[in-house]
Amino acid sequence: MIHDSRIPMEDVISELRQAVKDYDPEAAELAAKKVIEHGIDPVMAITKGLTEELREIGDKFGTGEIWFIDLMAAANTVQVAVSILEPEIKRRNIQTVSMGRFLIGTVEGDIHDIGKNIVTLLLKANGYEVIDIGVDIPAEVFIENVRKFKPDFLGLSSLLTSSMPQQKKVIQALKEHGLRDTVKIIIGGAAVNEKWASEIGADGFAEDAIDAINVTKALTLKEGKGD
Amino acid sequence: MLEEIGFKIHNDEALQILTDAGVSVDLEKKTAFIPRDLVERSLQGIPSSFKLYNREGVNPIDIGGDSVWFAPGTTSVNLLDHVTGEPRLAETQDCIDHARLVDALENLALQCTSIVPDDVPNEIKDWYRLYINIVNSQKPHFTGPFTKEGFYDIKKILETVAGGEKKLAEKPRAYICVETSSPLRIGEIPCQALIECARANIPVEIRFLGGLGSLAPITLIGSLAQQTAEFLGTLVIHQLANPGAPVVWCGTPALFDMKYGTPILSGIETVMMETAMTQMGKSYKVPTGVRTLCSSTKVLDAETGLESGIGLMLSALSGTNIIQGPGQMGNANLHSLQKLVIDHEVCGMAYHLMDGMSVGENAFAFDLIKKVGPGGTYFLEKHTREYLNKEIYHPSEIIDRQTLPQWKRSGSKDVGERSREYLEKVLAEHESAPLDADVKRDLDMVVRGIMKRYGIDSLPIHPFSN
Repeated sequence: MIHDSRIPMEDVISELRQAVKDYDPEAAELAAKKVIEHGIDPVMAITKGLTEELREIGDKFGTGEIWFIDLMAAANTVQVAVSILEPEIKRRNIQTVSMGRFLIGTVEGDIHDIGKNIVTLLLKANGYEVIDIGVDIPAEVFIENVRKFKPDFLGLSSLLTSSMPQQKKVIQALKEHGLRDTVKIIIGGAAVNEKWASEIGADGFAEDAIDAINVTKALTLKEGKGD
Repeated sequence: MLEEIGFKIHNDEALQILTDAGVSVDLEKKTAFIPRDLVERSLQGIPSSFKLYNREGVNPIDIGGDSVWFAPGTTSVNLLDHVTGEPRLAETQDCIDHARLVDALENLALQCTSIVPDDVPNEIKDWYRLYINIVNSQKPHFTGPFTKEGFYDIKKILETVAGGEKKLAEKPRAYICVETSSPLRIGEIPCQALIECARANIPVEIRFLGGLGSLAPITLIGSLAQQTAEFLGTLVIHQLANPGAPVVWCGTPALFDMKYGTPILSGIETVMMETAMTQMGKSYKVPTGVRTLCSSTKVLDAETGLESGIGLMLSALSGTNIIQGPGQMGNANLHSLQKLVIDHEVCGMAYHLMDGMSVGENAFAFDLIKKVGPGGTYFLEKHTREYLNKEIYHPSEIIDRQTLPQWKRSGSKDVGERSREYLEKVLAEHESAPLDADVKRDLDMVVRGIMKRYGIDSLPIHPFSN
């Protein structure tokens, strides 16, 4: 499909940006459908229409201009549009550079998922491919999934002190299966601290959801990926 | 809610108990649809009050009715160091200091495993704190397990202190925290502890954390409704496991700060919901507990005081049976011994407030006013001395009541310095009643056995090494 000149590309891009700015997933859905309808480059729509706007909103959160709930709402809006554009990217067989594949789950013995879900949403909105395998995940299931999906990053969430040893267990199991060096491990959760992270040999430790994004980005740059 | 939406239970035994009681259970989704009549039957069976005994099995406190007891807050991994003024990870010595301090502070009726020592292995952090409290204090305990095995270790320790399972069941020395995982969910470990406690007649506290607009509706009444459903769902399992077993309904409803994305326990909404929960509890005739007094601050400042003071006074006035929180700050992730002694003053004031003012002819003092007459003073009247301690609450030196010159002369100290001096004095002087030598020997043997099971040869400080 060729670009339809009657709908200026700029208009659709600004519609996308406005939807993110308004935290309006319905408007984002409509705009994303227009992108496909009018043959606009979906990758460009994502970078110019969504990612740039989200980055600005993220900066505003950093300076305290907007609230956490707004950042979540913006990330969700981006996610809705991306989920519509992704099949189009695949259909057109466009090669994209992902920021990386991130496998995430809450360790065995812990069913808390609010932190993990927030991190998942923010990672997706920041261009990572996220595979969320849920809560109460035993070490062997993490191993299976690392083997299956070959992620660049592994996020181990644990709110409880009681389930922290499970983070250690997962890392040990990865070592035993010769998979430890295939993936960067980031741990998080209310009871987790930097000392624990280095003790169990994690690559990164995140104090909160925003920190998780920053730590992941820092590790991404180290790996030579991303921008 | 329980009947239509269902209650998700990550514990096979609990699901079995409910199935056996005729409850419709979706085993695949681990969800039980609990009918109204079963909830009502469970509520009818629970004791409206119960007794919690001290280490030696005497001087019980009555939990229920309009009684109000204070207990330190729980559970923090960080401690605000009273020497450096900096937050750091808590260690074993801090647990010992905390236990001795709580033992000495008369307005605190209970001990609590408030801080988690970083210098011992994760596997034993739960019962090790309890062990330290038992050795250093006679007061009854509030605690909770971190793991499935941890529950049995805690139970064994409590049984050893009481002189056996039967004696512990007759005179419980501790009550155990069981927390739901909102919305409408309970985890495996708390559920296991719930069932085991019911069977052993160890009182439990069913606690709700929620989070306005995150894990519960943002409307207070909606959140309260969800909290009530979670309490009742948990209660049904508890009462099916052992009808009539003692229970406390506890609310620690957090709000979720939408600006920073943080759970907050110091907001006025938390206190509003706790007060409403207490009223619900009283109508159900269930003993109640809350956690107020937990500030969100990281240093001792005016905000620390105002958040703690507001929370505590409202909880006390609503007649909540167990009020937790003294010492806690940083949204329950930081504990401070200085804050503990400051909060202890507020607890004293709250008790005084609850006592109200003296009434009657002598208190009204018409004859005295007549005797002193216009322009006189009351300093030297016998009446003043008679009521001096009854009518007026006398705080410790932590509370500054000096004039400006007096304050300057005594070193211009702020509340941080005054509280530090106070707690250092208590720690230097307080002697806890020693644990009976035979019980201590048995207890140490149990502790060594548990250490051996986990393959732990030594701990940073061995209170049981001699």
